[in-house]
Formats: sequence, C-alpha cells, structure tokens
Amino acid sequence: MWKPSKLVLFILMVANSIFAGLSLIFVDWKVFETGQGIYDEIHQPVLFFLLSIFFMFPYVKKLKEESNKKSEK
Amino acid sequence: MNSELGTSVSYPNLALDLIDYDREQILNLSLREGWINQTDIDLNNAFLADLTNNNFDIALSNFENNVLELNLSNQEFEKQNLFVNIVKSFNDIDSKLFKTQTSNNYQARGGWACAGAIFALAATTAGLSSCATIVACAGAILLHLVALDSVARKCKNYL
Repeated sequence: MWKPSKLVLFILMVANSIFAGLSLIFVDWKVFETGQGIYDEIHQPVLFFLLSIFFMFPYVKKLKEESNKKSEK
Repeated sequence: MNSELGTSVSYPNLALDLIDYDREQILNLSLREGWINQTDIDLNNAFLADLTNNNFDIALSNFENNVLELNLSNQEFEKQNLFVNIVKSFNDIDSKLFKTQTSNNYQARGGWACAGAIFALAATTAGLSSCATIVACAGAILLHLVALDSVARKCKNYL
C-alpha cells in the first residue's frame, strides 16, 4: 500500500480543488434548463471536488497525528 | 434557365437587386414588398433561438407547434410547410449544418476535458492505492469508476 507524505496529500488536495474550479468554467449551464446531459456536464467538477475531499481526510489525519506527537513531547 | 430546366420560376425585378443590399435592407424591402410578413420573422427568430439553445429536432418540433397554433390560411401554411421540408432536406444532406454553438464549444474544450479526465484517473488511482479503511477504499473504487467513465466520455475522440 502506498503511503503518501503530508506534502503529496496537500498537493493532491489543492490540485484537485483547482481542477474542480477550472472545470466549472467549461460547464454548459444551459443543460440545466433543457434537463438533458446534466451528468455529462457536471460529473468532472464533482469528481475533482470529491477527490479533493478524499485527500483532505488523510491530510488532516496526518496533521492531527503530528500535533499529538508534539504535545506528547 | 426556365426553358432549359422546364420550370416556370419567375422573380420580380427588385429581387435581382438584393445582391447589392445588406441584411437590414433586404429585410425591409421584403417586408415592404410583402414577400415576408412579421409572422414569418417571428417564427424564424423562434426557430433560430431554439436551434441555438436546444437541438435541431426540438427546434423543428417547436416550429411545427408554433405554426399549428397560429391557425394560418392554407396558402400561409403551405409556405411554412415548404420551409420545414427544405430545412429537413438540408439536415438530411448534412446534419452538421444545424449543429448548435454549444456543440462547437463542446468540441473546442474537448482536449482540456480529456486532459482533466486523465488527471482525475491518475488521482483516483493514487487514492485507490493509498486507501487504508473499508469506507475509504469503497469511496476510492467508486471515484475510480467515475474517473474511468469520464475518460471514456471525454477522450472518445482521441482514443
């Protein structure tokens, strides 16, 4: 199992957030009026958003572990 | 030309001058001479708006409904029917003629969307290989499947 470092998790989290924002630019919002092809338009920004959340949890966990270690010392 | 093709098409002399006029002048002259009326303009504007906002089939269906709602005279109805048949014929010959602006934009951003989908696939692969709990792995698998679907959809023109 791959164990990414805190920095790698942070980069993945931020990169996915940026991509989520950028992919929102390309969304054709007219599909919400017609109701056709909504998934096709919106799935990529949602995927990036969920990925940034996905990498945020282990990143925050690592931060907590570090702060606990420091407080124990 | 009529004698060669065996037709009886006739143009008013004014129509021959249209080539020298701009769009507004042609519209004004056509209205003045009674070649078209305000109903024709409204119907065509609605058709064009539908074509831009939706697709050809919806635009044509709405146009037909609009014509039926107007209770036009037989002569006017024939005119609109002829327009529909011409538009359908053109669409049959080349369906790209009536592709909306949205579709063109979609193609233009296709490269970026494909690159984004590949990045998302790489990120979900990283997530899948680093998950530690059952819940996290289930989420990673789900995201990985969505990312695969995303690549299939966004990169179909490049694979």
